Amino acid sequence: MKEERVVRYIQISGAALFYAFVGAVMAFLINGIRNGWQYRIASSEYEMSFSFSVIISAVIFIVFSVLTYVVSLLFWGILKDKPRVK
Amino acid sequence: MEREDILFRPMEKTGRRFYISAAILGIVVLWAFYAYISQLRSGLGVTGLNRPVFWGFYITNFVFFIGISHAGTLISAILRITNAEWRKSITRSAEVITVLVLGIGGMNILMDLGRPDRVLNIVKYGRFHSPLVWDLVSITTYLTASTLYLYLPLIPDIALLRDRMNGPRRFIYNVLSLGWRGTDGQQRILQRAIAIMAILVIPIAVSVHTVVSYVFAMTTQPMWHSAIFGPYFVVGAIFSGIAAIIIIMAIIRRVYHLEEYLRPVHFKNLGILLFVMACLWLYFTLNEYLTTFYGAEPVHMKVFYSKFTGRYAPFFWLMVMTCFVIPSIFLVNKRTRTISGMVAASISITAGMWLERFVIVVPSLANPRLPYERGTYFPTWVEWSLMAGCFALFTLLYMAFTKLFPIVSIWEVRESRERGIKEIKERVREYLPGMEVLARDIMTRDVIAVTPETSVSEIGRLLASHRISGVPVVDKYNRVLGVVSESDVIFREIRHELTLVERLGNIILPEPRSEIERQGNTAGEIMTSPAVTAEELTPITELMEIFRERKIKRIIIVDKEGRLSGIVSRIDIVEAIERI
Repeated sequence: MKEERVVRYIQISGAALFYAFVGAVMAFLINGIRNGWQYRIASSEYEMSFSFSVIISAVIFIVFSVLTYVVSLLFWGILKDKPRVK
Repeated sequence: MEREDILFRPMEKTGRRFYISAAILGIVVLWAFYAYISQLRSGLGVTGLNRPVFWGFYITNFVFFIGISHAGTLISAILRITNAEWRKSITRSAEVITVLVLGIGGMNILMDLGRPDRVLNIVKYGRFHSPLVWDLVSITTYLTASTLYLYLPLIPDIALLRDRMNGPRRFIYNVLSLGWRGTDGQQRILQRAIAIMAILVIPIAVSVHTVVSYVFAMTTQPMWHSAIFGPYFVVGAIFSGIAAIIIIMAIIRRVYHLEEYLRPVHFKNLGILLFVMACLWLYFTLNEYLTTFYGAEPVHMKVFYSKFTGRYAPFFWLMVMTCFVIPSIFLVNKRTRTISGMVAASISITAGMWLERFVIVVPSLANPRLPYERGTYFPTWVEWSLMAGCFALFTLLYMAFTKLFPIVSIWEVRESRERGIKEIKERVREYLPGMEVLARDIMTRDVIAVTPETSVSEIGRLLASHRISGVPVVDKYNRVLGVVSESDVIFREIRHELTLVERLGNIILPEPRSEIERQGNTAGEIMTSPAVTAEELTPITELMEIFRERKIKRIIIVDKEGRLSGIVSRIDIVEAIERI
């Protein structure tokens, strides 16, 4: 029973690690949009930068949302189907 | 040994050859590490990179490995979506390639950096109009998606290993199996997750190599600034990916004796795909070079001639030979379309595709648009060592994977086999209507039956005179109550001879325990009840299944009201099959 509890903690830590990674990717996207916004103001040469940032970030946001959904399905779907450890 | 044991064997037994190979590969990797440390301490000056040829082996390797990564996920996902059953034995080995080479490809970018400590700047200050940032984003996304796509179908197999292994490995498998028990709910979730991922990874995979090509195509370097570079790179990637799968499949087939799972048909199908991709690759190459030649811009023509007749001509023509001419000879000729032939063609293609990357990267930089002097590039021992290290590391990690997880998806192959048997049954039924034989077609209709009151001695006489082994017992409405077999009669006669009963035991008595307790002088007292019955419309295949499972000699056939219609014995089945 003790082993099962340890296993469960490690599995949940794995899920948490993935969510942290997704968080880092989202932060990267937001930072990219911010950089694009700054360059848009600074120089007309880079005026496309902001639009690029928004479009690419939107695509990546969708992709990572789907990946997060799949991981959540795994962790909270498959694990849920297991007897609970008290 | 069970059929699937061979798939578990690599994880359960490790021979001396594995350790020797791992040690040799480990030494090569360590040597490469030493070379990298030398580069890190002295800077890129220890490499052959220079101005204007600032990209060489590292970027060639990067593009090559990212290309190989299309082996797994993309091909596996396409075959999964198209429901190609033959894919099931090969997808795992292909998906592993993807994950490993993506990591190794990414490492080559780090090797190419003079100041790798500044790599985080691309994350902190990256702007999204730079193709280098697109590369970072798409490769990271692809690596994440591919890892997940590899892991999902692994879960049921990891659970099998968990139930099979002991010690610390069991604990690891326990963690990774996510509590998989194969319940209907879990199966549903897994299938849904795999389906989502299969659809998602295809556009991601296509985007990855398109974006890799943009690193070149978005510049104005001669013979890089091309509109077809995106699809050209994607085609090249799938091409080299299939070749890599064939080579690796042939190796694991031989090393782990997986002939039963990685069959000639897999190689044949991949060989067809390989030839299609070879033709597509030639088509794109012709397009690329022909349009450059007709444009005849001086800066482009300098690169063009350096490839066709100049310094890089040996590499260019060797590329054409190894990517198209040699593989075609093997793939078109029926006699050479064997596993060895496919492997030879694939090795040729893999070498050719590496050359293709080299011929794209170096000649354009050696003949730049800007008024630099024409450059030259000679890789040093550091670059050769790091390249050898990349290949050794890939092989080592792949070997390690095969020692930890089944390289053939066990649960998918099992599922496929069950589905195959079901489909074959349906096809036989559809195409050979003769097989749709029902119990009523083969049963004996004039059945000798007795009532519960019939004496045992009378039954014995009936069995002997009609040379039959049993009779059904019916009531006054002809409904079947039970059956009396020759064993029942014999037992009744010899039941007082306890030693004899014990000695004959299972030979004459199908159910000794219950039979021993059964005594009497009439059919109703000694019969086996209820009898094994089937309806008139029961197909012959089901009757065969009943015979196999119940280990009986006859099945009583009844109508819908349970009244006696006939009897089917084993010999009736044999005769029916012969007629078909």
